[in-house]
Amino acid sequence: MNDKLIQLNGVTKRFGKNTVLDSVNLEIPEGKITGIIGASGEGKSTILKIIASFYKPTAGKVLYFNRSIFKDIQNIKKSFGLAIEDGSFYENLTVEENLFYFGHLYSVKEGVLIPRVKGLMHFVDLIDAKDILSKNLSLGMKKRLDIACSLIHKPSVLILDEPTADLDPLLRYQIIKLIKKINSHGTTIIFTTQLLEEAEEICDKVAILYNEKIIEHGSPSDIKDKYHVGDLDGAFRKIFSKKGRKTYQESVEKKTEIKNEKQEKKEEEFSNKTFWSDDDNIKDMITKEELEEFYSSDRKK
Amino acid sequence: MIFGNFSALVKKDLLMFFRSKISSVIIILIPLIIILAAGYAFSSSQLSSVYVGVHFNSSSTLSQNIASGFSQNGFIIKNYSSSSDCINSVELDESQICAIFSNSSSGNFTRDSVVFYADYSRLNLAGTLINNAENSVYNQSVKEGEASVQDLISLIDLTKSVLPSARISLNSASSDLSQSQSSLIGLNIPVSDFDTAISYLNTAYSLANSSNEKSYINNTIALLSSMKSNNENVSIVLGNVASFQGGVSGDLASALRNINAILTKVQSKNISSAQNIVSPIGISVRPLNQNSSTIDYMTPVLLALIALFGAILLSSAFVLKEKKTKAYFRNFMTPSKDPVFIISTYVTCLIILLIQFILVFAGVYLILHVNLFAVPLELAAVLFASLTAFIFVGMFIGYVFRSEESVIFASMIAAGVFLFFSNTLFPIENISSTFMSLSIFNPLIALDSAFKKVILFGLGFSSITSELTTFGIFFVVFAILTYLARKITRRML
Repeated sequence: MNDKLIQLNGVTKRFGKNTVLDSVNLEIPEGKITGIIGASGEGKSTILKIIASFYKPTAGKVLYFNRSIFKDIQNIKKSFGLAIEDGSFYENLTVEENLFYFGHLYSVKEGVLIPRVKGLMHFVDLIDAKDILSKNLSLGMKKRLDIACSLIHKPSVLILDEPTADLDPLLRYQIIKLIKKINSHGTTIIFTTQLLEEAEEICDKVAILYNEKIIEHGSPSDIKDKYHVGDLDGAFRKIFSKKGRKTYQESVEKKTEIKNEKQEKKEEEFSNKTFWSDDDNIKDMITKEELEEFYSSDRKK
Repeated sequence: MIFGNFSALVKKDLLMFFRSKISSVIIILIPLIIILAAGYAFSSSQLSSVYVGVHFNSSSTLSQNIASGFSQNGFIIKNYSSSSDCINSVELDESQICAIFSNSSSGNFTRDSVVFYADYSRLNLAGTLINNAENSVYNQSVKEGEASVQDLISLIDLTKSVLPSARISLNSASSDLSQSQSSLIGLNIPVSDFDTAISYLNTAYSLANSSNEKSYINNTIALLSSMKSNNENVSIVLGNVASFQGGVSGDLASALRNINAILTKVQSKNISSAQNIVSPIGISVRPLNQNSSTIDYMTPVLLALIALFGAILLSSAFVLKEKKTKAYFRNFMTPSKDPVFIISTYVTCLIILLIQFILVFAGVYLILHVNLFAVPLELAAVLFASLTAFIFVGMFIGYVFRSEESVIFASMIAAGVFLFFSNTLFPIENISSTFMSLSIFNPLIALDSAFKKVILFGLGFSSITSELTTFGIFFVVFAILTYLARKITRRML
């Protein structure tokens, strides 16, 4: 197994005058699940799109098997699958039609495609919904369809942008289970999340993105050991306290200028019950019961 | 492999298009409905409900006849009591044209005149109305003129028949005059004869013995002297008569010369028809196709408009819809290249438009009885080339603009520009030379021209090469622009 399947060396990305990533260094190991954690607007989606060769970095290199991904973009596209946060499929096509369509675009031969589509629908548990128009699927089913569309060409690397965003705990559990299942087949997975718990549960490696940089990376256990804490949350408190007591609330307010209002509201509401604050007292830590109460109140709204 | 990608894209687009049954039916059937409605609406070649305002400054039989001629042409006459009212009626759209009749005097002659006032903002209608009205006036004028000229011709013919006999009479009079002149000259007795007779008598007196003889001789001498004197007077009178005769003879000769000259000129002119004088050049206007109706002439421009608006709006909407779908991003992540997506969108639009046009052609041929298929290959080539050009114009608009409103607006603007600088609204020959030189690149003009050549006149490929070239240029330019625009949209994702 290659510990440096994908390498980001000094990657910088600017959009006009706005610097989103600044000299980011990251190594993605083969066959593992790597999580990139950060607040909204930190650049998580950007880093994924750079890895997927959709964006070219302003500076730095992205290597796949020690070769720049931009030297052979067509092969990279065949090897990588990407599922973005909003989902990327045709709402006026059925599940099966979407999968066949993208299969053809990836030049999967007809003889291979037919059983693969069927197998994939079983894999993501959408076989019963194969003739339903995508716009009529539930949120969880849409997420699974999106992941299935990313897998149609059997990529060796699967990139997921906040696959569990906006999902209730049950659906989140289902997606996490699916991610693990995909990884069990040897697919390297890179995904982004805002939730530490999730990252701790499934990631073999995490990278923390803050203020345009990767400020910490490693396996969850390594990070916990480094900071002598029992969970990632404790590690984060120490990291942030090291960074000058900048609260999560402040970082959200700074970065959510570029996010939509709904997202801002939800995160702001959530951040008032944040995992961490500017003192070491963990009494503000949200409990699982409080979490469920929060989501149920959100659904009632 | 590429064909598999391409066919998957086209199949996906057509599936999504026809999945929305109502909108797909509307999009395909609307052009057919439009063309059938236009066909029935414009099936008559006559003008109807055209009001002609009329005012008579001074009336004459001719002007009254002309005015009634308007009625015979199907115009509705409205009489106005003043010129200003008549002109105002055109401004207020109560009449489409105003005719003001007047006449002017010049010596012993009067001349009728008519002045037309037309609203030239309705260029096409104004031209037709003026043409109709002028024809009406012209026909009536010709009729009146022919009658007058015929009278003149009759007079000339009479002159032709009378003058020869007058010439004969004059010739005879001239010769009689010459004879009388000769006779008069013969009448003159020389004075010397009288002198000789008087001298003989003087001699006889001197030889006479008796007084009676001398008295008789004296009396005879006196008588002869008196006769001599009378003879001298007669000579003078004869001289006057001779000179008078000379004058008359000169006048007769001059009159003869004039008559000869008139006769020569009159006889040299072969005037037999008043019509040849009044209208020496016969004018008639005939359509290129004797059997064509108004709808036949309208069909090419209607088809061109359907192609223009249909192709630009459909392709721009297709591209925008694709950009708005969630899957747009994922398409960029696949190994399929941009040209495949562009060509598949083009083919999808082309298929839908061809279905539209098959229905339109069937409707026009079966219901309106317009024969479109004189040269079917050329028709297919023109349709294919023009739709290709318009589709890529629309696709470019779809990639450049981001919202539905801006895409629709831009599509309408683009189609409107093509429409405005074409023959459809105003004659292209009316615009300035600069714009006219640019208008040859207008694909709508090329399409209208190509359709006319192919549908109306049945001309072949050699006559439509310039039009096909125009479509080709547009296709190349906008295909490149579309590719570049798609590249730019990728950066905005």
